[in-house]
Amino acid sequence: MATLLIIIFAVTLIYLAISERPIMQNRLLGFQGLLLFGIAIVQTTDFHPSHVFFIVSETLLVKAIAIPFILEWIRKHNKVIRTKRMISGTLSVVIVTNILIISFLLCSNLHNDHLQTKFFSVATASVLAGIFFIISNRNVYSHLIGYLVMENGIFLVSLAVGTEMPLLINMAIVLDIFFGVLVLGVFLRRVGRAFEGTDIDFLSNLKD
Amino acid sequence: MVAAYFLISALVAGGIYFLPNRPARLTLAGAFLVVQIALTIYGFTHFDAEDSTFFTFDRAGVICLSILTMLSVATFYHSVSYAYRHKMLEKHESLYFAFLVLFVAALTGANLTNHLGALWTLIEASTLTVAVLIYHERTKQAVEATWKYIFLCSIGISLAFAGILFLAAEAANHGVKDLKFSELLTHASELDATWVQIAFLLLVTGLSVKLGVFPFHTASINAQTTAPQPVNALLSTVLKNTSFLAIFRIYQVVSHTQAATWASHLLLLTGILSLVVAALQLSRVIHLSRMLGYSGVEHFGLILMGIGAGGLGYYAAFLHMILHSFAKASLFYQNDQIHRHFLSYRVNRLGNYLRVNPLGGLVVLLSLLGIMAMPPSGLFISELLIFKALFANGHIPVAILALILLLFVLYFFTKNILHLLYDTSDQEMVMKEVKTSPWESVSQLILLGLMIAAGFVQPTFLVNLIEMAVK
Repeated sequence: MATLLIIIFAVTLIYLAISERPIMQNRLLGFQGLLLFGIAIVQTTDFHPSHVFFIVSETLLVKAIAIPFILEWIRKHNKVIRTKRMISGTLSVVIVTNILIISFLLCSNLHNDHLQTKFFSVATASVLAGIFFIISNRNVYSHLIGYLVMENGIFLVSLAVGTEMPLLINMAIVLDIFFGVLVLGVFLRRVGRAFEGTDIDFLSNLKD
Repeated sequence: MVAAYFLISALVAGGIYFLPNRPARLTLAGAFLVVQIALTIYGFTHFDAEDSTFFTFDRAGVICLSILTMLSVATFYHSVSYAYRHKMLEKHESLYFAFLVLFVAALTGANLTNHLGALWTLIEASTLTVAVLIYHERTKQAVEATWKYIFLCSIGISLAFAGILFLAAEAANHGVKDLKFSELLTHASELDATWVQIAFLLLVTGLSVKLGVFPFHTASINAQTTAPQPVNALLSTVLKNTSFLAIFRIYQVVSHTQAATWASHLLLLTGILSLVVAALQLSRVIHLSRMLGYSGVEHFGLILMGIGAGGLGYYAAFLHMILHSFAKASLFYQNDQIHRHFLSYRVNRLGNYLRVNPLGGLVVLLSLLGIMAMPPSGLFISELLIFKALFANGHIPVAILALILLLFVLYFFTKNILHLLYDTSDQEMVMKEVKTSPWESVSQLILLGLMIAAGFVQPTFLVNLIEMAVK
């Protein structure tokens, strides 16, 4: 089951690469949140209420519901219909597919008793695809989506390496990420208002 | 104690934000400073005491905490005058002071924590709180700087988190269940070098955004361009000190693994690349705040090189961090007065400052000597010790390259500051008749006095404190 979910997660990365409509990018991000919830629940062996609460709050509440909701609110306010890309859709698919293949080849050579290679390779691909998404798009809204794809990849890394932190720290991390996105969202809204657009060309006044 | 401190800070911040009355707000801010000072004194009297599960008053943390407290007092003082002069709206003032309290509290926690996860959380919290302060002037430039700062910090902090996960995974292989530094240090020699290298690379790259060194240095430079000058004094010193302390704590673990040499080389490389960036950018920068920002890139590059050099370099790096904080904060506090006279931060629109504002000019002159590590600056001693460590530990080519780059930094920085102090030829210069109170320069003279005094004599308690901290 976990393998199937992780493959679907990898497919969403390819789909994100060709998507030009922010509304679709946003939905895919929410879907990734759902997949992460499924993967985390299938993987967990600890059904202590506090642990389950943490999984549900980080994946389902924050990643699948709250963040897409905030992003949709910003998108509507900033009237972002389409985002400009520096690389064509076809080339983007080729690049993301290559990222997936290279990540898989690299990660299959890693040896660690606690490491789940299939998770780890998709996690690495997600981080790299997020960075690629940021570089290849010319709109700060898409940059935020790219950053969140990276964040999802890092959540997968935590599942792959099986790291467990104290509950208090875990909750603080979730809150930090949530407020981080909220603050980014608020400032993205202000970028749109101050520059009457969210294209990165507007954000080039600060230089030497 | 620390948990109570956080609770008080949150209540004070809430109180400042919601109270409609200005004197009441300032009284609350003053009460917060009293609590901050009390916590620092408690730290000095309870070395190595564990507190609230995730915190320890270790010497390195207490050193950073004491600098934070000193500069917080000065920053609150200058912020009150800044708010008065800029005729800040009530709601903006309450937001400013509330977030200043939260920012200082987040940094205090990050300085004292003994847990890698808590450290990450508190550093991220410092990003979110300082964002509101960077945005304070609400100009287009402030929007741009804030967006770039939060975005780059978020990416950097995410990379650092991935580093923490790698380190945690490898540590778990050797029975480490808790990510406390003491626990990691106990099992450090058993950790696999490859995993430690990946983790350290991600952590240094990620935290470089907060430390303001290569490769993510631009975020802090942009932030310092638009943030109010009292906030800049904290951004360019204590925020970076906290990030440095985080890297140092992780390096202490890594230096006991088989990846120790590799990690020291990584710090040397990051340091030298930061010097290259600083030298190149200082040759063309014309904005005074950005110039001071790039000077920070240079100094924290040198500090990383001190740690990378090892041995005496540890002591030198800490001493350099302390003295740099005093000199750099002084310059940023003075920057506000400069702007009041010339209504600009562009170097070609500044000049003859020593005559326009003699006491302010003296502060700039002493800060120049301090920042450029020229005797009698205490930074001369710390830089000398960094280079001594580099030469003594066989990093001779790195030391020579760093010295050449420092010559460029010295030339460009001094040229611009001397222009500010003495130049009278500029046609573009607009000068406004303003009265500046000598009291506004007192904090800077005290800080610079401490920095210069350290050039002549370093008190035994300070030497012992640093030596015990870096052990």
